[in-house]
Amino acid sequence: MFHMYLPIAGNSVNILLILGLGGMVGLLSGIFGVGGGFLMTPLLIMFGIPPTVAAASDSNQIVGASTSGTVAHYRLGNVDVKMGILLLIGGVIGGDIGVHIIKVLRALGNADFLINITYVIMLGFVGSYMFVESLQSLKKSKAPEETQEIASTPPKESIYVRFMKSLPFQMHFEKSGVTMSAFMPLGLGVFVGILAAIMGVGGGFIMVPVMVYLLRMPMHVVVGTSLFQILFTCINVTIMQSYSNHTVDFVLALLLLLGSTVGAQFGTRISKKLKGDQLKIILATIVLLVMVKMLVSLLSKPALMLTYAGGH
Amino acid sequence: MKHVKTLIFALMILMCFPLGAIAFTHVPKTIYIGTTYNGAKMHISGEIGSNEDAVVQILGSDQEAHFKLKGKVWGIFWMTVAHLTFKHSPSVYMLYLPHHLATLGESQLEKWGFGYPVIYSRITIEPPPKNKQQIFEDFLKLKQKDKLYKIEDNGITYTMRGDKKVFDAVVNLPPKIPPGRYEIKVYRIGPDKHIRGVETDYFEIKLKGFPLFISQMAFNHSLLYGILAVIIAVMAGFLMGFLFKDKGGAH
Repeated sequence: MFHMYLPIAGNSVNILLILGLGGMVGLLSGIFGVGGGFLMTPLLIMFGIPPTVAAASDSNQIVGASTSGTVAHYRLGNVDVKMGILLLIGGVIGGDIGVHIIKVLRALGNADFLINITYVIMLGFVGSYMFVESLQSLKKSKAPEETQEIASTPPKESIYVRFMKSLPFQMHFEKSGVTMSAFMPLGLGVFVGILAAIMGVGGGFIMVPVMVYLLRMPMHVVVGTSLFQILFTCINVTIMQSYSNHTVDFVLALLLLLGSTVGAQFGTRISKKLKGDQLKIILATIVLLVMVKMLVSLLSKPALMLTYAGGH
Repeated sequence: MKHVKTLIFALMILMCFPLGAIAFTHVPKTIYIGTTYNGAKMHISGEIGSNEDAVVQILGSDQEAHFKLKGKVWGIFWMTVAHLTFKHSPSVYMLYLPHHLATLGESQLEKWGFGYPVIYSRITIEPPPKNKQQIFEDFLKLKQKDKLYKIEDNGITYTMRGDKKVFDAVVNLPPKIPPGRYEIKVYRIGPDKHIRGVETDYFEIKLKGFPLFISQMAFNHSLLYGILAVIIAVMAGFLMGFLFKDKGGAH
């Protein structure tokens, strides 16, 4: 009862289970501006979907969820399109470089080791930094949150700020309330693109901290702009995976996105009610939990030494 | 003269299996995978001699399967250490035995050409691992978890029809079984524990309706399929945005 056959995955699934899963991940996506692939793909594999199909179909559903989230955030004035496009261009270039790096690493052997270690270190560093910073900020500020966040964009004249100001092609990003060189989002986009390609994920959870701490964007604009950027990244991945590997299961993606698009709308409402620092601290907690889960799986002996190939 | 030779040859073949054919039937002959498919049941039955036993074997076509092998790195981390390709592994292996034959043990089954050791001997793994047996056991566990490999120890039931025994096997085909042509073999085992005869037939699993349409699109028109998948996802996203806007929540 309530089962549906997935022709590309070659398995049947409980419709309610997949709708619920989509809803939960869509909610997270709407709140934090992450694609949720790092959560969804392992869960789908757990429910019997082949890893390659799980990852590709998830990209397809993220297209729907991030469209829904981007539309909602755009209405709230939370999408910096100019910044998003520059990050996206950088991300595409970085993704291409990353794919070549991973080929070289695989040829050298032990690529998986490097990928896993990069993953754990990145998650640990990003999660801890964001957690501590937002905790301190929450403790300090009984003062107004968001206006202060935007106003305090140029803090002290640190080396980093002076470096940012010294770069050519300075431009103003109205929605984010920052002025910087176009090379900053382009360069950081390349950086995130490389990491995302190496780690085999969308990169939302790296992009969000990069926007907050390195591009000094206000948290709510970060969420909307991140979703905008993820939308285009996943469009590219879905078409490429369909064309080259035939791994996109549209039936699975459709079920997931029915749940996730609704979830993303509720997520946006929740996001609106939370303060910037609260959002950061919850995201930091999720990132740290994923890091701990990964570390545990790296340190504990698996039940089976053999697993199906493919996926993240 | 040519006809006589053919007749003699046919008689020689018949003498190899002296006690008549099994003439089993299986229902359904073709299984269709539709939108709500979640596995299927198939009945295999036929007549055998009153002192004989029946063994039913279902075999999928050989396939090449790819796996990741985990191992210890630096003495502490468990992660992928090799990528392995299994060749000549059947996509499906199911064996249905009457209880008292199953109790004879794996070595007797192997003599008859049944059971997992037979699969083990035909599979090749590339690159060849040091511990093939251990890796094969993990492979079996994965296949058994997907219900694609199984040995039913009490999988044959009998009823008497005059002096003939009628065997019946109920085969549960799992949702993960891939579309394709499958071979059914029914073996007749005598009281002396020798195979007296074997009969082969086939059944097919086919996609139909929406799953067939999606599969054909994905494999035959992959670029169009990818673009349509994106367009529909974007439209669904916009639709949700529009619906929620009307309820006044997004401001």
